[in-house]
Amino acid sequence: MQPTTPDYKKILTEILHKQILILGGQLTLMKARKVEGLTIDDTGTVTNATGDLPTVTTHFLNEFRDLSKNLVQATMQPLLELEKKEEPVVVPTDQKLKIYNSDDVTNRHLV
Amino acid sequence: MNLVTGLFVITTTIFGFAAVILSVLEEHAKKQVKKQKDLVKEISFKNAIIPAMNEKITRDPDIDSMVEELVGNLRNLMPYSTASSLTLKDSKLTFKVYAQERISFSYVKAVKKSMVDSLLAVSNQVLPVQINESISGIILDDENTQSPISYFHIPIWVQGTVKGVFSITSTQKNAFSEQEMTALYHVIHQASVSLSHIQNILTTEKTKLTSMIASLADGVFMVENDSELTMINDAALKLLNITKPSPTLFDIFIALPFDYNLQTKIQQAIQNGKATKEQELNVADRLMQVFITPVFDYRNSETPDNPKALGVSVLLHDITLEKSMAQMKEDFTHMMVHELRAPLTVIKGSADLMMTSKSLTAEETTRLLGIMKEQSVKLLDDVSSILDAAKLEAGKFTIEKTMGDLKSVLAERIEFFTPEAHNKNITVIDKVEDHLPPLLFDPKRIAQVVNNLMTNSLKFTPEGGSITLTTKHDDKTITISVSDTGMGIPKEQQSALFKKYSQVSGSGTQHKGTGLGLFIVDGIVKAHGGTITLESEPTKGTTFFITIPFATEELTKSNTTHMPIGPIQLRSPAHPPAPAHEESPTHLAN
Repeated sequence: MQPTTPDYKKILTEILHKQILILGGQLTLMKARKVEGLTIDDTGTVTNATGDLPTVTTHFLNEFRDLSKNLVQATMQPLLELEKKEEPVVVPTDQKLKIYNSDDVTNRHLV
Repeated sequence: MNLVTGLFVITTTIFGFAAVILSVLEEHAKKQVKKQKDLVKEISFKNAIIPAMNEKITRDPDIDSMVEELVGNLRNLMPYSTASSLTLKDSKLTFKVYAQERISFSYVKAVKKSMVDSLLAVSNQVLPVQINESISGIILDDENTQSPISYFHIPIWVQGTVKGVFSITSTQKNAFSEQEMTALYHVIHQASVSLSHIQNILTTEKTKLTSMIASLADGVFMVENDSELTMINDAALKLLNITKPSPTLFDIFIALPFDYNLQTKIQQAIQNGKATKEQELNVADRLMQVFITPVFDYRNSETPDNPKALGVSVLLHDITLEKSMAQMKEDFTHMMVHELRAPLTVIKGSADLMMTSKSLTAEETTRLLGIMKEQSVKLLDDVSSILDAAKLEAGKFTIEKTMGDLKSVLAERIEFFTPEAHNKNITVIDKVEDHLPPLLFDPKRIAQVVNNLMTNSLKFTPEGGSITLTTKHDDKTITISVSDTGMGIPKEQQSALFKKYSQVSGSGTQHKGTGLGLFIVDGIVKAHGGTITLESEPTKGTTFFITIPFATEELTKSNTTHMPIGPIQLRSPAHPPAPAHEESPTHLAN
């Protein structure tokens, strides 16, 4: 099931509260408030989240990755799961068959 | 008038706008200049601090020295009230704060609590309750009621694990810009990467060293800070008979002899600045040499001539076997001198008598010649044994197999030993099967094996006892057994029986031999692709079993096809061929 906006707000708020504890409030809020689409109050609670939220999540993570990749990896796991992933390139099944069908190759040689 | 007023208003307005625009532009320019200045300051700071930290880390790859270098240079980047570190090392938590302003103890306490919370949140692990503290910089002022208004923490990752938190605080509001904080993050990140890299190398080297020490046959342990046992290998635990999972130096003290004071020896080694060696120490029924080598820290010493002692490494070298071998060799030399000298003395005495005494009868002369021959044969047997043992050790022992009749060889041996046994009131029982299949074997060497076993049986079987020679065979193997009702061999001595110079203890001096007999027997049986085992019970007797495989199809084919005439010279798996020379089976006494 796709996460809803309240889900995003809840997870982002939890992460922010943890970051305030780890990094301190000033730096955490400075970094988080640079992310477009998020409104954050002084306690670190996300009061509004707009736009494409997986993209917003990626921007949020990138702000903190700029500080420390280890920090993101160790303390933002729930958010990493919501991050927008690149769509995998899927090769159509019929194309695969065209390439690998050995009968076709054999027939071509025979012709 | 109106026109003048109008022009004035327009002019004023234009100037006003121009002034505002100029002011905005000036403000913007000022901001740009400040930004540029900040950037230059940040770059200068990074350029200065990163190489300095790397150099420090290279010299002392430790998180504390990394932080120390950072604090020393931090003032160049930003003003602050305190710079602190909380580090976790060897399960110990250390809090260090450097005060740049006159702050109170409660201020320091608040910083510490905030950092502990940060470390707990980022590491998700239970931290030690005890925290070592150190405060440096400006003297604290408890009348100052200020608290940290601005602060930020930087978790420090080393080798993929959080090893601490660095923190900056200020009594001023919004004291740090994002640029400054981010710059410090990057500096610490780079230093952490360098530290991780060096620590990874050190960890790898330490693993190699630990693995090497663990695989040593010698016992090794390390004592640091006077009495802390920091490393001990399995060999040391085994030698000292310590079974505790986490032993201390005290356990080693208990394991060592009561009159051996290791603590004093350690102190002496450190004071003298050189290794000491304890010649022989009896520990848990083993003889050991103890080497104590002081370990010095030349890097962190004030003067190279007076290095700081870190502790000692102790090596335990087990010399029990060496001593035992040396003793065996010494015994062997004494025994050989006696064994060779006795027949030579008899031969010389007989010859002297024959040369000097003119009244000897023909009968007496014949008897003396008989004695001389008997002693010569004994001498030759002993020399042959030494030669065979040397060949076996050098891998040059060979046998000459022919397809022959084992029964006739065994029958000859029974016939040979029966008169001697009869003289000792010992019965020789023949249980050799009537129809034995032909066997590919070296008749002289197998006769030598049976001779040795029967000679031993005769030596150790009391009057009224018996010696039985038996054979049993199936499709693949034939087993020859020599069984006696003698004194038997204690269980603990049985495994060493086939080793060179081995003698059954308690057998008495009258039964002493070269100690080479069973060593050679084992070599001959193995050269036939066979095995030798024994069953023995003290006071009840001993049975030796020699199992030899019949020739394989391939071998038989090879015998008839390629070597139809004469013996097949076969090389035992471990022994290259050498010319055979023995003319008669030798009597090998154990």
